[in-house]
Amino acid sequence: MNAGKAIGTTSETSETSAMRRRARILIVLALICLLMVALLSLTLGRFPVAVTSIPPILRDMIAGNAPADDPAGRWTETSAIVIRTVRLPRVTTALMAGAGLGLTGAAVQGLLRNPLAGPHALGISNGAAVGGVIAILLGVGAAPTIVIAFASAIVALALVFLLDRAAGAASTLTIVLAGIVISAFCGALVGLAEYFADPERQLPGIVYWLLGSFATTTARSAIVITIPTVMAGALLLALRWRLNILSLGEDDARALGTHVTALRWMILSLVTLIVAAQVSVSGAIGWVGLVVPHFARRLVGPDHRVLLPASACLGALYLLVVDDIARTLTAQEIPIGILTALLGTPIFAVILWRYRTAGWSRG
Amino acid sequence: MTWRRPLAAATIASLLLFGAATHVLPEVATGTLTVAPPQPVRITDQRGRTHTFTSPARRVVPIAIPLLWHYAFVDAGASHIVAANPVAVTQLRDGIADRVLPGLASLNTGITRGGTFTPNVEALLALRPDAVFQWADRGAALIDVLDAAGLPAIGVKNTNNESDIDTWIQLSGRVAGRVARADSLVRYMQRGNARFDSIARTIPAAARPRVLVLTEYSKTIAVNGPTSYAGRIVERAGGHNVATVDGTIGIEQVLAWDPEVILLTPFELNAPSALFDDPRWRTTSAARARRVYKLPFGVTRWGGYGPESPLLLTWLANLLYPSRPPLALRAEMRAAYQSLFGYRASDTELDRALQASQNGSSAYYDRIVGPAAR
Repeated sequence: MNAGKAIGTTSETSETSAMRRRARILIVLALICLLMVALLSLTLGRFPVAVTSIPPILRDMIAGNAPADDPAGRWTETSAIVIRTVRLPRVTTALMAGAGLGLTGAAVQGLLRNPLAGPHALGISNGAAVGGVIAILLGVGAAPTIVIAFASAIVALALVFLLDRAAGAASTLTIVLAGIVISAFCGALVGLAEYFADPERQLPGIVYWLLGSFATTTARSAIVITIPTVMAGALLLALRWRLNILSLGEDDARALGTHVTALRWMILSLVTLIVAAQVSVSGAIGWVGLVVPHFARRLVGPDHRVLLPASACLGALYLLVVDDIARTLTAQEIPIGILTALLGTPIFAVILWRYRTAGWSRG
Repeated sequence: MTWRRPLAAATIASLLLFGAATHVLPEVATGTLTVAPPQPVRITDQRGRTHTFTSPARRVVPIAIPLLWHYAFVDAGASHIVAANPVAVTQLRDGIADRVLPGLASLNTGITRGGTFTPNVEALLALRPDAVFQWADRGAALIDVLDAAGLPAIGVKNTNNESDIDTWIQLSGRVAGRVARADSLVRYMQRGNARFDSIARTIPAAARPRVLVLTEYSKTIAVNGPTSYAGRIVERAGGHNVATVDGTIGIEQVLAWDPEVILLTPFELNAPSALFDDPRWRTTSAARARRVYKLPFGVTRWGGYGPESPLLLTWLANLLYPSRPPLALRAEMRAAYQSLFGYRASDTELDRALQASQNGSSAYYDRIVGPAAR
């Protein structure tokens, strides 16, 4: 039996078992809720589509038929296109982005033992943003934009790694500091690109992309975000009990036989894959990875075995609802990054206020 | 039946519109060519500051982008413009400005810091300009820095009103010593508006084709609402601008509006044909009927009120009412360029301005292009 499982079994009391049972029930409820909200999201939009026509449209899609008018007159070709090429990819993308941000936020906070950490603190988001902005300046299409944003996020993490190595890889603090440095550097590059962008042709696109939006989501975007999020997310979930060890502190983790450095960078690489995928398809969306894990921690506690899946579920639920608001409230698309910040900052303020008396690790 | 009345009214209005318009030759500005003010001229710019010119400006720098072409129209060329905003100069390379106004598309552009409106004061001082046109409504610092350096900064504003554009032209006329020509140009633009307004307003809303003006659609879907310059042009040409908002929208909103005609600005890099086969767009009435058009780019970018807006209105009316006798757009363009600049545009140049290659697969565009492009 390995060290992690030993800790999980030897230290469990009947109280913690009850907490985990409660947490699992909450996660199942959250999953059911998520499924219902996802289905409800398919019925929302600016184009009127009869709710009763959605299941047969989806069946028609699964059967491999091209979008067309229903011979029985239940739906039009346009309705089928709206459901199949607009709403389904968008709901999928928002769901994946939210799940990914929630999951990575919880992982980074646990890994760095820092409640103020998140994917954005590691320079990954700004790294991806540099690539996205360069792609817009170059005037390339959507697919190359995704590739360039993705690649630049990887480069940003590599730079954080090199900086951490140069500093002696002493602690998680050096990773945070390296992340801040790279994030600031990438932020400066984005600012430089904005400064030199054509204010009429390029700047509006750059600003809108940086604010985050699912407005241009296509089936390709949904695939681009789903594959890395599911694969890297599954690996992160598989490592969730190891995060418990890392969150004990480096010395304790090493004493338990864990290869701290290798594990840390493995987790950060997985986080990078997920965040890069999200930023590349929908621009930078802040506050989800920071706020959602805190909320999840209050619901299920600090044990990463339940905290990670809970954060993923809540993140997906949160971003799905916010995107529903963004796309239905007005004819104009409100950039989702603005809404997540408007909602996230007061929520985070309340959480901070409630932490006055309770340590963050206790939830 | 109830639909007959608006339809009949629309038919009559359309006949009036086209019947009248086909007999209206362009009334282009023909102001005096070189009238130097006999005494100092006092100019009050749009921020209320007064400037005195003892002679027509011979070294002008437009930092505010549209002032480059408005000044060039008023001054009948680029010979007195010593530098301009790099963004403005780059944009002009898309049209036929380099032919009609030689030198305009290859001006010195080293007078801003970055691609925006922040002036490079040292570079400006080195140019010894007689006048610098700068935005007065995009942050005081942009123009204060010019004042502090002792540069003659003419402040201009854009409050989304067509009267602002008239003012830019009139200010340019006074700076260039071409007041009569500037006034004549403004009258030409206003007559273009009045010519279509008087008839188009009689066309009932239900009979107007639904039009959507897209700044771009391939990255984000950015539309022009009712208060935009482009939105007003659509209404004036007899269309109904379906966009009720300005800015970015989702594709579902486009499908709900279901435009019958879509206009793309030059900011969208894709040709209209790319939209015909796009799975998200192909069920719109406009894509089905292949009535998607890239807006022309003459000396300037067409899309709103300005020196070429009478030509834009003629272009648009031709495409909104394809069953009506065509308006003589090409003749109007030739007459306008000849009268304003003494330039005889070739068929190839007109086709380039009218985006013949990009609009080649769009419906009814054979009404617009020359024989070589058909």
